[in-house]
Amino acid sequence: MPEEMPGEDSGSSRFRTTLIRVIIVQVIAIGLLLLLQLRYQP
Amino acid sequence: MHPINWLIVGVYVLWVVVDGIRKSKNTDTVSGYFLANKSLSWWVVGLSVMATQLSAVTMIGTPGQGATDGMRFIQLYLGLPLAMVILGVTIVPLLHGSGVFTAYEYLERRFDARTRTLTAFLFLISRGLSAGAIMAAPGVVFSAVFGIPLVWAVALIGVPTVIYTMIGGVQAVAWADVKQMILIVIVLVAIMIVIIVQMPVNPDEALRIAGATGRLKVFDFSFDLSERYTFWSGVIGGTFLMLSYFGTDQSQVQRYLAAKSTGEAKSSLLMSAYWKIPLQALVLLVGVGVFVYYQFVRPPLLYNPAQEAAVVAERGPAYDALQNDYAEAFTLRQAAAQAVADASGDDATVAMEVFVAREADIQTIRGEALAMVEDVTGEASGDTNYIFPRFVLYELPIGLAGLFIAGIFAAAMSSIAAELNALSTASVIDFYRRWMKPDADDAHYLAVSKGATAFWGLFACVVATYAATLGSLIEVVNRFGSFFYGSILGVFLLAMVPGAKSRGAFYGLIIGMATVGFVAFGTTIEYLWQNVIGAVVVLLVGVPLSKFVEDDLVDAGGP
Repeated sequence: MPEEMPGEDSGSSRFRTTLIRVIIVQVIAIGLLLLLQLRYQP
Repeated sequence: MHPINWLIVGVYVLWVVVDGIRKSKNTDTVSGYFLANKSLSWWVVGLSVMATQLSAVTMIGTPGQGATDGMRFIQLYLGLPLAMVILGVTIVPLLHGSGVFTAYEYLERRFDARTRTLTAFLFLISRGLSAGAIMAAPGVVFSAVFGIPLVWAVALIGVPTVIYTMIGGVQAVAWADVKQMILIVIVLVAIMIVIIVQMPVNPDEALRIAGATGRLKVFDFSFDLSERYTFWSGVIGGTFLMLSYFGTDQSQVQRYLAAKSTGEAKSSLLMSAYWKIPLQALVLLVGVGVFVYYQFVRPPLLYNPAQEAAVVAERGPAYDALQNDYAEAFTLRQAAAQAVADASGDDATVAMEVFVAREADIQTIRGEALAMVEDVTGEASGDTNYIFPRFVLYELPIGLAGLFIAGIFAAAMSSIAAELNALSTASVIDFYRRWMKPDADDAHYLAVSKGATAFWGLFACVVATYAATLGSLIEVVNRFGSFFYGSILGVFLLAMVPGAKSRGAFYGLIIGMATVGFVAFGTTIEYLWQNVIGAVVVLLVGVPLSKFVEDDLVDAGGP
């Protein structure tokens, strides 16, 4: 396995935090696009 | 174009080149030149990854697509966030931690030299030609819009890009990408604001007008393999496409190999997962905004000024008659669009039906004009790529138009620079150092790398210059590229299967590509699904071959 680099822990924890944010942002973005379609597309 | 706009473009390009050369310090080793000594922060790499993916085609063609076809193109990117998460826990730690320069180098460690060489060769062929195609797209548009020879337009984009890429290596490319990404977002947001302010209807009314013609149909939930963009092809096929592109294409892999740690490399990819769909939605919405704007301001009958001039010269009277019909049809459509904006309740349905009919009349007249273009010039009709540049140059205030052109330069340069950088890396690491001169010192490899960058830059410029006459060839090349994208991903997936052997990888790759070739030419299955098929076939062939057939070559080790 590759050697652990300095700062790896903070990198992994940032990955997890960002991952949660990614999911939230995608749900919001796709939800807004779906709303756009439902509201304005006859 | 106004001199102030040219000044903005000139200052921006000069800044990118000069700053790129300044960033060339610490690039006197192979690791410094190709991987920035693994020193880049996640946000620099993340912006570089995004800028590499966002080419000038996105800046020019995608708003045009939004204007003519609406928002549904965004479905292509639905698989991107999932792909980035998968890569973050699979291929990124594998490649970043193994100390390789290229993704293909890893394949030799895991399988054998022939698998590495074949995948690297496929990359060089497809990306070498695609660098030319990426340069040609804005070059052709600049040439037509500004009335300059194509070779000059290509040189304006290609020469500064080659200079800073050649001198500064991956560091210059990444920092230039940061500037370019910021500029692109600023330009898009500014244009959106200007469109909203200049439109004679409010945003709610504008969206009703756009929706009446189907341009706000974002999602298509049908499961039709022959339909290019559906929710399912985006989520499933798109995930495989993005896994291939970000996980195995050296032009992207090299960005995150330069990150200072594996954690930073993972985070850099998540930036795309974060922003790609919102950014792409913005680009398409700008296009939809242009469509609504042109309901109230008469657009040209033909958006490509060079084609329009050719038609006027050859078929003047017939084109004038068509222009008169177009003016009348526009007046009727404008009234119908205003009626949609003003209507409510049951009146709205009737107003929309009338508007759709008036829009169809306009499209019929445009179809006749485009047919005239085809007759006169022999070029394929269609001017979607000219809609947005024409709108920007004629309708936007001085300064913003210059920023937009600078934005196109930025988008083109960032994608081309990443590709030249990656082409040079694969040429030197996977071929020159591997097969021709394995024991030279860093100074030697560095000199060869700079020469390789210059060579690929020249190659791309030549391809771009002849792209107009090689139109169908470029299309074939792009299609050829999609034959092996999924299959190469399959090889990397196979690398993670315990017990997978080199024979399984090599023959799996060849059978995977052949299968995709058959599917592409023999069926109506759309290209996003071909990535899924390629990857799955490699696994289906590679796993049993590894298990039941002895390798004829000794594995070079690996995890």
